[in-house]
Amino acid sequence: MKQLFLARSNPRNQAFVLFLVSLILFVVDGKSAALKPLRQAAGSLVEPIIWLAVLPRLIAEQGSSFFELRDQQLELSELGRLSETLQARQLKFEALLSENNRLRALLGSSAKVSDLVSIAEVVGISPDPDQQYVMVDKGLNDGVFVGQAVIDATGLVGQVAESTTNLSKILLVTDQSHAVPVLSVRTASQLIVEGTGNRNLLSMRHVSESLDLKVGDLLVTSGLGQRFPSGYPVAEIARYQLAPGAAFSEVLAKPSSQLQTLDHVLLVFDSVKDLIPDVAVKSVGPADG
Amino acid sequence: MADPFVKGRWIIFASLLLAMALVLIPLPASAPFELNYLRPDWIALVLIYWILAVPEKVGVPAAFCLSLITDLVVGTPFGFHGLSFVILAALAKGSYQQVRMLEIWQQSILIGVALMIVSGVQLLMMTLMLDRSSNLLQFMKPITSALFWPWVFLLLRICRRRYL
Repeated sequence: MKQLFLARSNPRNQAFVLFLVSLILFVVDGKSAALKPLRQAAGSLVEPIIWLAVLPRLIAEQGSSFFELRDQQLELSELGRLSETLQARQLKFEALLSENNRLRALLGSSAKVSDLVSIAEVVGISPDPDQQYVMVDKGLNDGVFVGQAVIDATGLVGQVAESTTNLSKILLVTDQSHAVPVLSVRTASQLIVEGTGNRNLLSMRHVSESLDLKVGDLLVTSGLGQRFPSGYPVAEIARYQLAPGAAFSEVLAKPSSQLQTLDHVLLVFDSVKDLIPDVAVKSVGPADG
Repeated sequence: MADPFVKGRWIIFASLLLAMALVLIPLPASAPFELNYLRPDWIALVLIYWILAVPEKVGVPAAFCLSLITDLVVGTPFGFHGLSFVILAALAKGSYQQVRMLEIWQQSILIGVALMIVSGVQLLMMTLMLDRSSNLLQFMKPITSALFWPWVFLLLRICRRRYL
């Protein structure tokens, strides 16, 4: 009988120990990648809970699509027209693509112009507004890998941060912990764009005042760091201020992609490994010699 | 004869699962993004209810396990919810006899204050340990959670009387 009482430890001690365990786990998991494999394995097990939260929206979508048949027919004809114009443009694009590849071959560069993409549907967004991520319905089963670049029709969205069997967590470019190397299309100056935690604001640190930047400049991925394929629009400079006396100028930018209203994203495959980024930069920069 | 420790346990799991789903369901894209700061902490509320109601079934270790699952589905680092759930569970377990005696609105205030303190601990750790800043609007969550406590309490009491 005494043994039984000893086995049940004091809840206060228990709480103290478990609080310390939580704290240690928090620091280890927050600062290192040591627990990532565990997260991935356990994440696949709890996937059904996330699907449970998606269920009501899926049902609502099915229900509304049943009633909006006429709207959809209209939409369909519109999409058909759009597809025709896009196909016409594609004709020209194909020719340009092959020409570009020929020229690149002449330059001895292996950078590829087109990337393989796979479409994914956004099924959830972060319930914590201080963390900027979305969940999409593609996972390890679809070949998604951690660090994969994610774009939408208008620009860079972010990268895959975690992936389980059928779901992936995509860290948006605007998350506080996210940074991406970019170059300005007009002047080819190299910069690093960081997230601010605000859904429609990106920032750049350590921008020297001698750098040629203007409001409205388009920033595209530079491909440096070999994580993101080069050439995708990331942001447009929205504010460029030189504070007199300050060491660096303050630069803020607006993300190109529609991060507030994401419903579909494209996962970029097969582009990172064989990418040599600097040729595109050279061709934009000032002529040498 | 069913084991009294097992009987009706499914309703506890089901309510916690529902709370997680409520936390995860995205707001419509047309709603302002800041509205997310007003969403109550459903999981903590349901956890507190079960500890106050059946402390012999739900305790600190259960709260810790729940926190790990919550971290996985919400996408926070492991241990983030543990920081709050473990304290909440210990407080609830240590004082359930007194808290049960209080009026519902008094419980609401008490829970609001407790949630305020633990979210303060969480945000402090986030800033100190991981160097991530948090919006101070996060402190709205304990207030809305406190406002939702009476409804959670009444609903779960009906469930408990029927199934447990």
